[in-house]
Amino acid sequence: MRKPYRFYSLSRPKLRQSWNKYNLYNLYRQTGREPQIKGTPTFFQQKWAAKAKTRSYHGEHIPEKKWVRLFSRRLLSAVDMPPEYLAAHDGSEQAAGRGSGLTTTTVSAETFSKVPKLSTQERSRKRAIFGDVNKLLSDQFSNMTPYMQMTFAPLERRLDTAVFRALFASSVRQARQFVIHGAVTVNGKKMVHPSYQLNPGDLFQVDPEKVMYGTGVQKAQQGNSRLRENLEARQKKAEQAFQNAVKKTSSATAATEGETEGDKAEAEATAAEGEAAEGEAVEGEIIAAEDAGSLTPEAQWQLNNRALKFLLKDVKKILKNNTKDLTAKEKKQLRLFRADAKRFLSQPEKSEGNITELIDELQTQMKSHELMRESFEKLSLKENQAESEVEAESANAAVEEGEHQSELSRERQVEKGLEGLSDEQKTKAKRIMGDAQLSREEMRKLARLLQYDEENPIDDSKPYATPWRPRPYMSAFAFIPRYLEVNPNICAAVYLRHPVARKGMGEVPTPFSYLTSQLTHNWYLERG
Amino acid sequence: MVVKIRLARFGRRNSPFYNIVVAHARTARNSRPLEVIGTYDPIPKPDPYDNSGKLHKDIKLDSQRAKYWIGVGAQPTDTAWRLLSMVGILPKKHFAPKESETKGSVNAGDVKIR
Amino acid sequence: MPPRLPAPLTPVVDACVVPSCKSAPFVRSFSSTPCKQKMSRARQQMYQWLKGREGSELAEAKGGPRYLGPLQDQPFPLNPLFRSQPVLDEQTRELIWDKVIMRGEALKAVSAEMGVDVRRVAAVVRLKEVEKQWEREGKKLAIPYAKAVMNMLPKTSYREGEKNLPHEPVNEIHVHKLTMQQLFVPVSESRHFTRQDAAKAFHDTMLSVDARSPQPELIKMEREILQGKTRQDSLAKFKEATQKEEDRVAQRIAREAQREEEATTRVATDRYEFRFKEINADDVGRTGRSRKGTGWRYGAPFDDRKRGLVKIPTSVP
Repeated sequence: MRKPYRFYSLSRPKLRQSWNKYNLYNLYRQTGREPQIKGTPTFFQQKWAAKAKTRSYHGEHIPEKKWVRLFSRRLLSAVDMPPEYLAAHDGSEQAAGRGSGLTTTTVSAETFSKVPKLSTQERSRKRAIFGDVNKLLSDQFSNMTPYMQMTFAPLERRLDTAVFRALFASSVRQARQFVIHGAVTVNGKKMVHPSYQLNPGDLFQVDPEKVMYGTGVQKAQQGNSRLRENLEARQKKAEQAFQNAVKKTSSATAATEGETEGDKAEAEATAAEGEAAEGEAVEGEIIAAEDAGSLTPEAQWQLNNRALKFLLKDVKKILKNNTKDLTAKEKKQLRLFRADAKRFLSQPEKSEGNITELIDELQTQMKSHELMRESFEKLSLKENQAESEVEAESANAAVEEGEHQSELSRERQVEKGLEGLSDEQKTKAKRIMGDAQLSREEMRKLARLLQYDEENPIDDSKPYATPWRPRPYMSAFAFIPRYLEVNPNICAAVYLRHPVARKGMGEVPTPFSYLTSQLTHNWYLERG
Repeated sequence: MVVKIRLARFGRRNSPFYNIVVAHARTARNSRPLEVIGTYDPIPKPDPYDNSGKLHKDIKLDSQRAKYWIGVGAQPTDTAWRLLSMVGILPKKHFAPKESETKGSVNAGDVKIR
Repeated sequence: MPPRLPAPLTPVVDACVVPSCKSAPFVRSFSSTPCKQKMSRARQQMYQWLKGREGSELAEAKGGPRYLGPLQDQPFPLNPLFRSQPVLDEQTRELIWDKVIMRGEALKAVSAEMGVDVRRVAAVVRLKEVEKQWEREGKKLAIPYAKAVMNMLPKTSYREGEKNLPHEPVNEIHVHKLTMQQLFVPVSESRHFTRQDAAKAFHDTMLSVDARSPQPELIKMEREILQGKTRQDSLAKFKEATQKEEDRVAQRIAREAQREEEATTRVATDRYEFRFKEINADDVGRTGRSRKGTGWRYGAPFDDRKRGLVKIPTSVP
């Protein structure tokens, strides 16, 4: 059926099977409550109102005629009969002494039951409205079997409703779309009819991609444009590093004739190449370190820090003295950079970006400007100097070391630390670590990060925001009724049995009070 | 009149389903046959929970009756022959047009184009 | 909404000084004040609530389940008769799978031990098997989704070797249609009126609760314990009995599968596999209209397009 006009309304609120925030708010302000009796509504009027209310929630997308065909006046219920009770008593104790008007026994099946009771712990006490019918009725609730809440049980058998109840879609209409679009299988076969009536024991499965799309945070309109830019910049850098590495190794091999070293460089080069394809923002800082080829991370980090400080000083100076020469946009950029740089220098672990990125960004944006160009030139000079120094050092060290044993043991340690990760991730980890020696704790942290990245990667091609997060307000609607057994890992569920009523609990999830459901049931009974 | 073993098409549009029937040759395709000896579902299907992409076709057949009818001279159509030959009731037969060997390769030097 | 006040005068005057202004009717000045958002009072209140303490708590969803209702496990504020009941957590499901598949325990024994319905035990194993198959095939699981969902739900966890509360009743009996009526049966006071008698009173063929129980072996075990046998002995006996029953069922299924396999001939071609199933052409009966017959039936009405009939499949094998 077509989606009605003003599906989620605040002025004429109706409850819907959906995780929408309007719906949440309507639920919160008790939209579906029975109205205070004003005047004398006839029984018919009361029933009509109740029916209209409940039908806007239960199977609102199904024509009334179809629902009426489904309606059954036979309401299912179940009783817990603990085996201990059945073994100990044959039922005669219930009948004994009745004629004399005495109750001779307090034994019943319930006294044997070990199943935990429903909680009566209140989160917050709301002030009761005087004369609230719902409140008056609720005293009996714990002792009765709420058959009336089972009015819409036949709808829970529908495939689309079951998909929604199993938390695989954010509304019934979405679940229905998933079914129609062929994302749902029943017992391993594609089922495109949302009105398919599940049988007890049916296993239905929804495409995980669709589930993640339905239940995840929506993608931003433009996508992660900022992220994409970052990635592209990084790709460029990686290529450059690769070329540098090739050059360096060729010269190094000429000098030291070490074949092994050549191999190593090659591996490094391929690694750098591989990096170009991947995009991980999580370990941005670590990656930045290995851009410069053979530099150790600490040295690189220090170098960058120095550059940043230098630039910051310059920027401050420019902002102070030459404000007139700058356009508004440039000024804004500079201020932003200043803030970022300060934050980075004060707490380097916390800030997400990395220094080189920051500098690069500034460089691209301010290149045209005379003042900044000067400072950049100075900076590059200095950088080159430092680089050459460090290079010389590391070269010496490499010649001196050259033992394979320590490397082997380290490799073993790395392997142990990264247990349970895929090969792809392992190579990535090795690349990130470079030559750095990581402590066990650090290794564990890295492994955890990589694990998280593998499970929940950033992927711009997905139709939902990555890394995946649940929709806001999902938790208020997150419950799985007992007639379903769900395995969220594979987005599959089994319809165990039809929903039943038992003492103090109706299994059909309905937001309406007992009174409303009773009136509705009476409407569909078509009597009086 | 010739008795044939042939297929009678049932099912809906785009979802054919055939009865393998024994019928007189000149009766209508879907008219009541002498006997239904099986069915043939030509739409290939995967096994449930099978992701290997292998498909199969289901055929039901009373081979005893099929043998009997062939014994008394019923003539299978090409399609029926192909199905029956799969279970060894009939010998294999090649239905595709034969590769004619007379048409040899053409030598470019021999051909003259004005 | 009342019409917006005209903008400050100066630009208008400026524009109208130029004579061409009159020929261009669309030249008009815009107010520089930011456009006020069109938001009704109700919407304002809604956003106030959503941004408030409760709304932001619900949006974040950190640290376990969080529902709207006044009671802790009540998702709908108006309906205290529906509660969000706990689900089995990841370890428990893994444990169930391990017990059934790896250690080969009977479903009913696992169910009785862990306090989980037999049907649920079977479903958990089935789902886990699919999950393992996915892992073997290298298919990607929806781990972030699963983690988030399990974080939002109340859970029961079963720890082996500890004392655990049952997840749900294991011996639940459906209330039979015949027993929904009120019945007055005059019975003498001295009579020992048991459950069997009560069932009989409702209907001649009605079975008692004991006979309709999904766990008759468990009842037998409890009875034995009451008669003075040790718990260990009767538990062992119970396990044996359930195992035996399950074996019988498994054998029956295997036999059926084998029979099926014998009746089919598989012919592999280069494209598809053809499966020939042996049938009996005489099953159609004398009139050719028997329901057991093979193939599309002739002459019998075929109502698949009739109005009011269910057109979609009612079951999937």
